Amino acid sequence: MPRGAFPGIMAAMKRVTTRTRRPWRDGRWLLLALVALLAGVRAEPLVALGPQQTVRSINAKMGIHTRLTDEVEPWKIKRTLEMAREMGTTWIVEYFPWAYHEPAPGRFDWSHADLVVDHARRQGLTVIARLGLVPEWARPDPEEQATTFTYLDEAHYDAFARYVATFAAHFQGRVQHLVIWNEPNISLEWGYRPVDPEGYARLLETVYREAKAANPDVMILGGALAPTLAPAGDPEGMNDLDYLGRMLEADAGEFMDGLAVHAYGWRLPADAPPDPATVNFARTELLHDLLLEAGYPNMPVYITEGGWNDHPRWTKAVSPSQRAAYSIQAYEKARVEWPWCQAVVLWAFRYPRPANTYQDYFAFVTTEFTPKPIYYAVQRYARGEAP
Amino acid sequence: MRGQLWRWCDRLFAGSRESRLAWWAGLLAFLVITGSVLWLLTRLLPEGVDPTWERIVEEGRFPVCTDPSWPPFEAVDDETGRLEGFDMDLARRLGPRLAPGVQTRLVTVGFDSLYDALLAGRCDAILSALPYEAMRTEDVSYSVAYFNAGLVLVSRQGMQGIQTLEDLDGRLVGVEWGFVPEGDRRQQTFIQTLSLRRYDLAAGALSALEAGEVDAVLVDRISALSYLRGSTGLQIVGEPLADLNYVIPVRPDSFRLLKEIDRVLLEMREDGTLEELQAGWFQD
Repeated sequence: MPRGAFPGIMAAMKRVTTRTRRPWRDGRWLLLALVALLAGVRAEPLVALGPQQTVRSINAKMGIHTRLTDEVEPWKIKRTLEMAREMGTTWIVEYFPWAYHEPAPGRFDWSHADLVVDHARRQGLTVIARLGLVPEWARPDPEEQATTFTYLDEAHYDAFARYVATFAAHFQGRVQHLVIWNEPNISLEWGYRPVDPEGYARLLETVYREAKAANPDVMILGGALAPTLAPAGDPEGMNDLDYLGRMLEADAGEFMDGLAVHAYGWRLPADAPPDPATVNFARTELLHDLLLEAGYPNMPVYITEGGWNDHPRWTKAVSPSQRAAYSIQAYEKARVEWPWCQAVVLWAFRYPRPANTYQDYFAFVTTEFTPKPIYYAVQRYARGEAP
Repeated sequence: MRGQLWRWCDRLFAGSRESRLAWWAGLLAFLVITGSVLWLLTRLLPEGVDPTWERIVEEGRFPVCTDPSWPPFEAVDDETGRLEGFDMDLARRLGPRLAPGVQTRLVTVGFDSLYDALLAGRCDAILSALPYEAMRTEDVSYSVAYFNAGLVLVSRQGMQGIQTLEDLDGRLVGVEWGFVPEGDRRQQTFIQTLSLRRYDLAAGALSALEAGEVDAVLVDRISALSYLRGSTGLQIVGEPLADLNYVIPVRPDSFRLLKEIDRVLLEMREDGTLEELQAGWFQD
């Protein structure tokens, strides 16, 4: 309660008790005092940010992908980020959907995004923001053409670029890394259209120019490609190595400050050698090689998704002990062997609700915030303790 | 109306002895006749139409979805390409016992799509070592259990003094890495107080038990049965400590099909078919 509000109430109450001859007037004073009180009190958040924290870890490249987009309750957001910090991860990737934050053209609502970013920063975490998800107003009229949230035609590249630029300006000094789109090399993520590396390169260029004008410090991360061995002409998607090659030929490298990589290991350990015919964690090296070949030796790589799954039935899963060992191996590999890799962000910390599929077995913590054994294994690694 | 009822009630307790007896006899006769009529009605009236069941009986085909990636319950034989396993044998026996002339047709579906395939009508039931999931009961109906894959206690044969969970107090117990205590809260709390030694895989824990490194092992029943197939020195002690029941999901409107599946599974439990299948896939 601000200073001055309390005496105001007392004065009003005094008038009520002493000036009983003119009750209308006393009531007016009481009303005025209440208005003053309401106007003077700034609404405090229900969950305080708390003291500034720092991450303690032997490996500053460790990261975890959070799933706070659909998390409503602030205490759950705070608990998630506290536990991520306590596990020893410095980086988080979080999704900030365009459709949520610009529900109508030019009308922005950053309340939830602010909540997530401010809590993350208070826990000492560095946020990488993934941007995408097209609002209905930026898609064709559903009466004429049915589209999904991943459909963005070139006529609306400017609108998306304005969203990214507004985000970059709003979060200047708080969020520096922005991932533009998600897995554009698979049709599902490209509005169920044939994938288009040159079109994605044009999107990057449009976004890059607007975002840099709004916030010169922002770092635009391109790619975030799905690791896939899709054969040429596959309607579902394009091999990520081929896609990146074509992106770079279309000058995408001029309009990104870093390459976002999705590095899943499936059933192979993190130290399995890279092979164009295999999806594994070290496939990241092949993507990096393409950057070198295209003349971008200093462009950093950020693994913004990746990891292993320990579902007992899924054919691409490993045992819980293998999952923990491979995940730690991945963090360590980036620390020791990959100076060009800035962050290894594994999927995923916790789901807001169970998916009731194999996806639940990517999580490090249950929906009820119970740490899985991998959480403690990673924590021990981050603290430099024996496994 | 209420006054009339009160008067009738009064007559059960007031008046002459003969009068009271007559009223009690009348009430008893009324209840017996009403109950009999209701019982007859439930037996004679049609119970509604289950279109799935009608079609299965009419066409003689019972399509069952499975993901053949989970031996010994379901897998593809590398040489013959035939679907084999506990569930596959169960599925093939289930069809003819549901109704005369019905044959099971197996439909292979990826694990993540099993429930969607059922709800989309690609099959009428799933037999794929699926555990009962309370969260899904809005979308599917589950049969009675046909296999319990829950947590079991394994000890060396001839080892004295290990009969219950409580007997593990003060002993070294092997578990798989990532083991999270199951069962009720009392069991979970107790297990957490035990001396646990973790092994990368369940087979490693069982191997350690055989070698005498630990006194007992807590593992899932499938791992235990699979290991015991090649080992004579170990035994499963008692019933599972926590249940993980495998069941057969059907669509919620397949009420008659579900009733028939339950009937056959209970018969199979009684006549030893389920035991025979288990022996065939885990012990021979």
